[in-house]
Amino acid sequence: MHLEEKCALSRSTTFTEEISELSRIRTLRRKKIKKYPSVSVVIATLRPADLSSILAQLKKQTLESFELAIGLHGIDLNKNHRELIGALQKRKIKVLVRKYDTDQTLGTILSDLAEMTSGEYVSKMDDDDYYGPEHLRDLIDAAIDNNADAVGRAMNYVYLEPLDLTVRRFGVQGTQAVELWSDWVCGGTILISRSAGKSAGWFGNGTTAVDRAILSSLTNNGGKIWRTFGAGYIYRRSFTFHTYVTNYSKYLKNANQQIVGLWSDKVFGTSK
Amino acid sequence: MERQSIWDKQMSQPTYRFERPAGLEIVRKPKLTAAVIVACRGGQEKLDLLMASLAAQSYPKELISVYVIDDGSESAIELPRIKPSKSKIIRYKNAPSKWGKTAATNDVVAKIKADVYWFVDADMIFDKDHLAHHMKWHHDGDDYAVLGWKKFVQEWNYTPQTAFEMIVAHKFNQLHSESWGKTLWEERVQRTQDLLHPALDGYRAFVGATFSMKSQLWKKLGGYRRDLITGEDTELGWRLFMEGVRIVPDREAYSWHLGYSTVELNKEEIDRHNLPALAQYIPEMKKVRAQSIDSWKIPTYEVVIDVRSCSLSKLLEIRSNLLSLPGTQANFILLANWRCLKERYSPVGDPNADLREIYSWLKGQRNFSFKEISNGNLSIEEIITFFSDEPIPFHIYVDGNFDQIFDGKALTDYLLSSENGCVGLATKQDRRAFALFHPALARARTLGGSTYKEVANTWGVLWLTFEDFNAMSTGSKYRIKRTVNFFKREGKKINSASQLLIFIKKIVKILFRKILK
Repeated sequence: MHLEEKCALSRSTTFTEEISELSRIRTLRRKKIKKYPSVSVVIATLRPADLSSILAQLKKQTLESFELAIGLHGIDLNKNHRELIGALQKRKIKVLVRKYDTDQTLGTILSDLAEMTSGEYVSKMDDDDYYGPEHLRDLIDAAIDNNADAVGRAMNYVYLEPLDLTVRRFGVQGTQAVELWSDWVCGGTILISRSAGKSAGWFGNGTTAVDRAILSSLTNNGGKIWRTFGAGYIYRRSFTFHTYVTNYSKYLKNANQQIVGLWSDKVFGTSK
Repeated sequence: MERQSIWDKQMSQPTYRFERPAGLEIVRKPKLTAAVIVACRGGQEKLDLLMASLAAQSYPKELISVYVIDDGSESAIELPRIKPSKSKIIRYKNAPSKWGKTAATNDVVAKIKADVYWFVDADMIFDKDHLAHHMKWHHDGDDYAVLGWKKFVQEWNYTPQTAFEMIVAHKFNQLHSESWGKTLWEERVQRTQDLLHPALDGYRAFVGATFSMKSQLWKKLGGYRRDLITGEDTELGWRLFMEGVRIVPDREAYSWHLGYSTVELNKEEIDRHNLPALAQYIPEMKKVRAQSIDSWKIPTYEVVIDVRSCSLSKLLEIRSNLLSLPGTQANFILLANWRCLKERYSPVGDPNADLREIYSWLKGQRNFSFKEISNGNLSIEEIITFFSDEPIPFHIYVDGNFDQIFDGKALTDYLLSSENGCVGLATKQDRRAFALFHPALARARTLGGSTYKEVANTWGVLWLTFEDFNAMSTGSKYRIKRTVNFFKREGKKINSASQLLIFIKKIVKILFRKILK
């Protein structure tokens, strides 16, 4: 898919126009795909409530089958988690669970999870973000269509918990630009081919910047990253401890739209 | 407490700000009943004309009932010959605290059952479709307060019979060839686009000669403030406006006011009586309020501050920035884990020194209250629950450790000019502050569910970075607008020679600073 084939997207593109363009591209891409490759999802978690939330979102994924590897970072599965996992297994989703001590780093856990899975693609998801039901399928569609080593989403939607506000940021520049080759995508939306991931050393072994680790290694190896629409994913900025400052106010700058609460729409799987 | 919703019954879409349909037509087959309420003390001759004009109304007779309240007239008021079929006199037995328009109206109306109450003065006469024009709004929604359009006439020499016949024959306008409008009132209505964009001025346009509202709205508001003897309509207008009610002056609902009003004739005496009485309840009467250092019943601002990580000096800075304009006052609600102050401590090395200092300085002040919260994060929804239902125009929240200079006055000014229900600021250090407009809060609270979301749906919510807001307050792009606002704001403070001197000094100082720059 080339930019020329699309209608002009700009800063003034409305949400409705954006969704309609996304749907058009989705239809074109899906026409070309006969059989989906195998996908493994890796998730590291240390908050039981967030794990419940992401498991519920995974159950709604339209991608027919995938493999799921959960890394429990110092927590145990509770009854609710086991029920949700049971429901996923009924959907013919293979679920692997591995426990890690608290002294393990996030990078080590994610890399280990990626290694233990077998899908042709590995998708990293963050347990505190919000994913629409087409998330996994859209990523695979984009990877196949563009013959990319990795794909991910633009940062178009951010939920700011302290303000209970979702901002929409859409434009043709920076992290908001969609449908283009880039060295950056949202960390919670990375999907990478197994061979490229392995060569990049997966997510490294650091405590932070695990996304940067895999994306830059891939780029250094000559790999190509396609960035698709952010719609279908909401990045979440949660409350932090009082001493820890994240400057979430920057997401208000040049925002096209602000919606109180979590943006409610079927593209995010949040419509009531 | 269960909040009564006056909106959700008829409308699928709640009202947005003060928007209303344009070109609404008289309802062909109306259903709502109307109780006409006239409180009078003497004035039989004018009442006879009023009753004749009521009998001539085009609104279906079976839906109209008239209640004439005789508030202790020297010679008892009688129903005239020409009157609507369902007319009744209610003799209001006077006693201390049981006399006057507010007490009589409140007590009598409490027992009247009707969909709509139409309150009229006894010295008015109405065009044939006057009530029908009021009622078209009430058929459209539950949140309207409708004002008729009136002109004053100096003399009249027609009988009730003539008035009745002329009105029925659509010759209402021919009853008088000379009349006067209230210029100030008409200008205000004009300026606010018939109160579609009333800013804080909406209430001033609310006058008592002919207004109507749904009975449930009157009951919710509790009617007039009983302790007001005159000017009660202005105060009611303030509460209606603060409630988020749409006040509609209907230019097609014609009426004549027979003679000049008491206010016009005895302005000085009336002002002396009314101004302090009304200023108790109407914070917008800043000029009156500025004449006294004492506090008034309803403040201009209600400020909630999370003081868990706040110093006394920061708190006082927030207060002094907010109250820079004379005649403004604020109630402060300080949130913290106050209970921790009860633990044993030593003045040396006290871990709660800041909190204790705040409490020790302010615990005796009536406009400060202390609310207990636990250690967690405060969501916006949770913060909003601390705001009261009192008709205080602006509610403000600010993190006590707000890392920038917080000017609550500038924020509420911006809130008002942006016409949003809520405007918030976020700093690079993750600190928050926001201002909420009471009409938006009041309406949102009647809708149930998330108040914050309903404020967004019915009035609009806007968050800005502190830098963007600051640029609007100090940047070159908005210089002219700011200068105009500066003169408007500072000009209001001049009420004496010394204030004028302060004003001149300020201007000189600013000019000097700009030149040196």
